[in-house]
Amino acid sequence: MEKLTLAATARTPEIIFDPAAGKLLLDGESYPEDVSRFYQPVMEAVNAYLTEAGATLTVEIKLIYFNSSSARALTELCDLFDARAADGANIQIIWFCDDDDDITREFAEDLDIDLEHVQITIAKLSEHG
Amino acid sequence: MADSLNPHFPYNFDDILAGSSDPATLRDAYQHLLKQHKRQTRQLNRLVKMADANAAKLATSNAALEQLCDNLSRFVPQPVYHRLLEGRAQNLQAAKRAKLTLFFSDIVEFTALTEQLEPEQLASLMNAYFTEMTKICHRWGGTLDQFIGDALVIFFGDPDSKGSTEDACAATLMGLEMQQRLTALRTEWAASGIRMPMHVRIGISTGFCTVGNIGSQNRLHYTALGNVVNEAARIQALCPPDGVLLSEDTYQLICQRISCQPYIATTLQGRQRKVQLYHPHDNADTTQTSDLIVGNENGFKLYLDATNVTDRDRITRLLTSALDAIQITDHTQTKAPDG
Repeated sequence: MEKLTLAATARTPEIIFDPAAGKLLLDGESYPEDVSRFYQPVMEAVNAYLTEAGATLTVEIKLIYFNSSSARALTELCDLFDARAADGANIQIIWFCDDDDDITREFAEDLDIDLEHVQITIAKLSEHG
Repeated sequence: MADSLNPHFPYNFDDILAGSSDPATLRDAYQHLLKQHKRQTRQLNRLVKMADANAAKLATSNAALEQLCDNLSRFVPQPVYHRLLEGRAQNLQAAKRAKLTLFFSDIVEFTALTEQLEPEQLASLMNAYFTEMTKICHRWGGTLDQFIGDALVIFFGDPDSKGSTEDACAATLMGLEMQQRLTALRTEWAASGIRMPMHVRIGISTGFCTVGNIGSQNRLHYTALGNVVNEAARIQALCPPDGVLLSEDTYQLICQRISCQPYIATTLQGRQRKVQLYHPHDNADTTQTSDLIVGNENGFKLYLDATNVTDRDRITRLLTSALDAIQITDHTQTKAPDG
């Protein structure tokens, strides 16, 4: 499976999906003009990878700002992780946020409540860069 | 079989609706739907919360931006500020040749004024003076180039121009209005205990200048350079206190619109021959420049910028009352000999 790399723009985050390393990174700001079009290839690639037997994935989310449409897309992405984890995939989500970023932390914490088969770990953004 | 339209709902809608599902399946489906509903509600709440938080964040950013714009507008000439705000700054980048009307004013015996006033009193006086003059400048659409000590440099014709004649008329009428305003201000200052009244000289000149952003890459100043700038300063020095003095070039542009009288013929640096300087009449004929109507006679002052009138009914009532008042006075005066 090929590595997927999307460079950051003013409105979209950097996305690196490395199946060989079992890592997915979302880093930057997210308010794309067309959220579905932006996140669709990522969802498809991740879903294809996670349906493989014994798939292991570490997800690192380092979004300093995301709009409501992106929040919806992130929810769908996490639902996908939850569904694949229910099927047996080993998935770990680390959501990085600044100490003073209550919006992001509360969003990640709320989202974690809805996930049954995968857990979101909150980490400090500043410590991990 | 799961409903193909909803992969998250692993039951057959058609069977449930047709009532052909067994009670156990119905209960499971019902529980599943409730769970999904709860989850969707949480998601909706989360998104609403997110949207509200982002809106609040945006409001904070907008407030900061408004404050920044407000501060910027104090440091940058108004026409330049509006260009920056509208994203048309690229038009301001290059310096160019343009026909401008330059305005230069200076306070008479400013040094003596500084010696007579306490620093706080002087600062307050100068702030009031520059604030009033700046307001008048903005109303006439001038580009406030700079304050040089007590001097004020304004130009007309860039970045926005209504044509050389309109620009020269605006500069002249602005100068006259400033002197009128200063007359009123002197009365106010005298009432507040400032013994030494402030008098100002104004010089106006028209010609081609280099205008644009001049300076270093990191620090730019939107300004005009050229002999016309110096000429306006020199004409100002020849102007009697409380007056407005025009160069011959400015006079030629405005003479059809604003009545003037010759003042002196003099030699100005950079000129081969003597040039005649002119005073515009401060009781200038009611002059219409574009949408502006300006009049100043004994017992009558009018400044009407029709494009910026917000309460037309009130203005109409005021003007009607004014017309009535003139007619009543006229009627009384006509009848007076009989009475």
